Amino acid sequence: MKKTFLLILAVLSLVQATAQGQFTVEVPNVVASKERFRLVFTATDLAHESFSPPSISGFLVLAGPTTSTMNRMEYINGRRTQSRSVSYTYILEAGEPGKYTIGEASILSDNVTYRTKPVTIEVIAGTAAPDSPAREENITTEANITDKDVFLRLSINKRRVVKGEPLTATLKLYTRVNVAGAEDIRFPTFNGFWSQEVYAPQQIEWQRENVDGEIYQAATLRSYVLLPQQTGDIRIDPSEIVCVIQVRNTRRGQSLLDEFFDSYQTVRKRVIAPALTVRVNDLPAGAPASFTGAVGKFNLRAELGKDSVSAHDALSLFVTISGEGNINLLETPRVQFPPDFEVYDAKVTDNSRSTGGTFSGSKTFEYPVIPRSHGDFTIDPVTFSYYDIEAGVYRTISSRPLELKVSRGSQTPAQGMPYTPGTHRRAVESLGQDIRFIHTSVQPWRVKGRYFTGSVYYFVLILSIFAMAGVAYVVLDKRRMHRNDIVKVRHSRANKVARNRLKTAGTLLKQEQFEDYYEELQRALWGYIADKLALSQAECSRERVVDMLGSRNVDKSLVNDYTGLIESCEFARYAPDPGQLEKERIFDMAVVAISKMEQALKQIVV
Amino acid sequence: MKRFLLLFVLCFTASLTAGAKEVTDSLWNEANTHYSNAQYQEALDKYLSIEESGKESPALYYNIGNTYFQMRYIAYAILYYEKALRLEPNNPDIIYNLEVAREQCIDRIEPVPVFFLADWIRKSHQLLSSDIWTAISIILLVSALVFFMIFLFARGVRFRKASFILSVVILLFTLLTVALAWQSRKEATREDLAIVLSAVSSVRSSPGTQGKDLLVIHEGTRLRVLEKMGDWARIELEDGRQGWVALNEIVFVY
Repeated sequence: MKKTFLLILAVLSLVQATAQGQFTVEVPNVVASKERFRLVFTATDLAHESFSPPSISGFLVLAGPTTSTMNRMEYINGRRTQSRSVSYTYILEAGEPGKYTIGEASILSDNVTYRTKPVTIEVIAGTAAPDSPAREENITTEANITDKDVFLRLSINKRRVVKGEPLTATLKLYTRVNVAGAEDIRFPTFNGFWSQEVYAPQQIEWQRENVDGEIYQAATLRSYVLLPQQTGDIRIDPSEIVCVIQVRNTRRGQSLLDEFFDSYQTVRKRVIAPALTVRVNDLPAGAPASFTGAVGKFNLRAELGKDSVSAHDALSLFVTISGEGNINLLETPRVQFPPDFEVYDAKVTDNSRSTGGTFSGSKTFEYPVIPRSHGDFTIDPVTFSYYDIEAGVYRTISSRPLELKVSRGSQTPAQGMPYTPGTHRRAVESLGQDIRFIHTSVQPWRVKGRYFTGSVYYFVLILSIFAMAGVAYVVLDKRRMHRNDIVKVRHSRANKVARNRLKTAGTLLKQEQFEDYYEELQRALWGYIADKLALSQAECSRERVVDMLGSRNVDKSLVNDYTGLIESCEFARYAPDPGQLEKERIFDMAVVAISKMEQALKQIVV
Repeated sequence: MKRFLLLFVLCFTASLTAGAKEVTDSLWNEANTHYSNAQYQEALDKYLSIEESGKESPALYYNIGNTYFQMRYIAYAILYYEKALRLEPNNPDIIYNLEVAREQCIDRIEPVPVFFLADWIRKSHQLLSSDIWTAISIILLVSALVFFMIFLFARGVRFRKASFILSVVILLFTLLTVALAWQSRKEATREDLAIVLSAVSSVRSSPGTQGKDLLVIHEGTRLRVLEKMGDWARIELEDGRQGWVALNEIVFVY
């Protein structure tokens, strides 16, 4: 227990030791000629060693430096804080109008020198204003509180900007009377701007300011940083405030008491800051493709979380954009990852602050990706474009290409999942669409608008085809006619020829030349049937003849007799002599067969 | 004699155009090289000079279309793809690129749906170009005639029967291909197809500027010109809506 206590004490003392001392100066920045005012240097939490006074010129030092010490002890939530401050006060009187500088004062404490910054005080001719509104001495009534006595002013630092260029708007209340409070405050709404309050005091701090040669108490109510989001003349609507002003009653009462005690009266006055118009120009044409509205001055850095990773393991690409401008409104830059990478939405970390009427700092985009296949990859440089207001040009900055080695990962894409073949198969993804490439082969050029179909050549060709067909028909027809003529002649003369041959055969029989006899007989039989059927010598065979006769519906027995007779003639030529009677019988049979065949064919052939 | 004369005329014209063909081929190759090197303006100039010399081929129009596409003149690209498609209605590259170019257009017009069978019949001629159809029809005609001759002069009964049927069937096909060839030629020389060239064009209810605005169409839209009157044309969109546009805002495909 005791130990813990000691520890806490030690920590506390450490806190005490590290508490930074301060050395500040406090003086009104505008004074009237012949006015007396205080110049106070305050050393807080400094072990006082020695004070080196500043150089004061242009002012009459009426008194000082007078030293006063203040000790303060606070308990907040059981914690004690102690502070000690020493102040050195001068009373000065202003001289001739002009600007004067009070040099730096310094204090040496524990071998460390603390200095104040030199302060410039403007001395103007004119009536001295009250030190603070609370010490209002002027006799004013409700009637004579004019717009000059208290007014509200919205000031912006630039009237002409380009889209996205930051500007500051400050709402200030100026007064020469005793403003006790304010109510019904309507702050400006900045339509067409992205706005952020950068200064919104809890307690109003009054400060002297010179407005057209008059000293006013001025208080900054709000301060904004605006980023125009539209182009054109953008109007900032008036803002207004109702001031509660304490006015000393000037009506003298009847009683002495009234005269002795001042009576105060509160007066409400509505003050309005007039509307303003800001001309917002559009950014010039010719923005690069990677431009997304960034205006200011930026730097880009891109790096991978790891240089090498195994497939299916996640890694991140960090893209940091730093600089000043509308950094808080930056869009996520597009990064072209290799096709086989699974890319997730970027995580954005905004480290920007508003400083000096603009935003500065950095914005980090973290792109989580999972490479799905192994190999050496190069991620294309990340490019980012912004509009440089000072130079009035677009600038494109890009990172170096990033190399990434993806090693063949473990075969299991997810922990604990058994690897099954085929689960890695995917459909081939289309990455983009473009037209197909030109045709480059040598062309069969033709005259424009000329078609073969329907042209003269077309009709000539068709006609010539028909003409050729006609010619072919005529030629073929002539040949057929000619052939038909031969057939007819043979047909009609078949009987006659056969009879002549039979007659020759008869004489050969009588001359007993049997071999010739049979030959002649056979020729008569063959010749007759060949003539009738319009067969040539070569085409003549037994099968053919049977077939043709059969197709002409000649009696089968007759056909068999006829062919049998031819065969027996053939046979008889080489056989031993069968005798005279047999030879004559065959002759008679041949005559009968031919005449029968004549009969049969006559009936059928038309 | 007639055939010899024809042959002679063909040889003569071929020898006359032989020199011109070399010039055209070299222009063509240069233009293709320019295109490959992404020098689109130079490529376009050369392609167009070939076109101006009165030569054409489907690939020429296709390449001009591609060049215009690369130069972001979508309406011209569509115009030339349409021209290419007229000469070669079934080329998949032309069809694909025309589709890609159409996707860049602002107007999306749903064509009036047609019964699929009717659509097939209507588009059957697009399978081949008219000259190819004609070549097929001539081959078929010759074979039909040959079979008819066989029918006339052959002796076998079955043989004759078969050749008769064949010749009739082939003749029917011949007539079909002739019809398709003529249809294809008619489509290829249709003069009523036009493409909107101006970025924005308003379709009015009557010719002249006093007509009431009916629709606003944008570049690259395909339309059919029904009639012409002075500087105005009565047009019909693919979805059937009609109106009048100024003739100088559209260009005819043929």
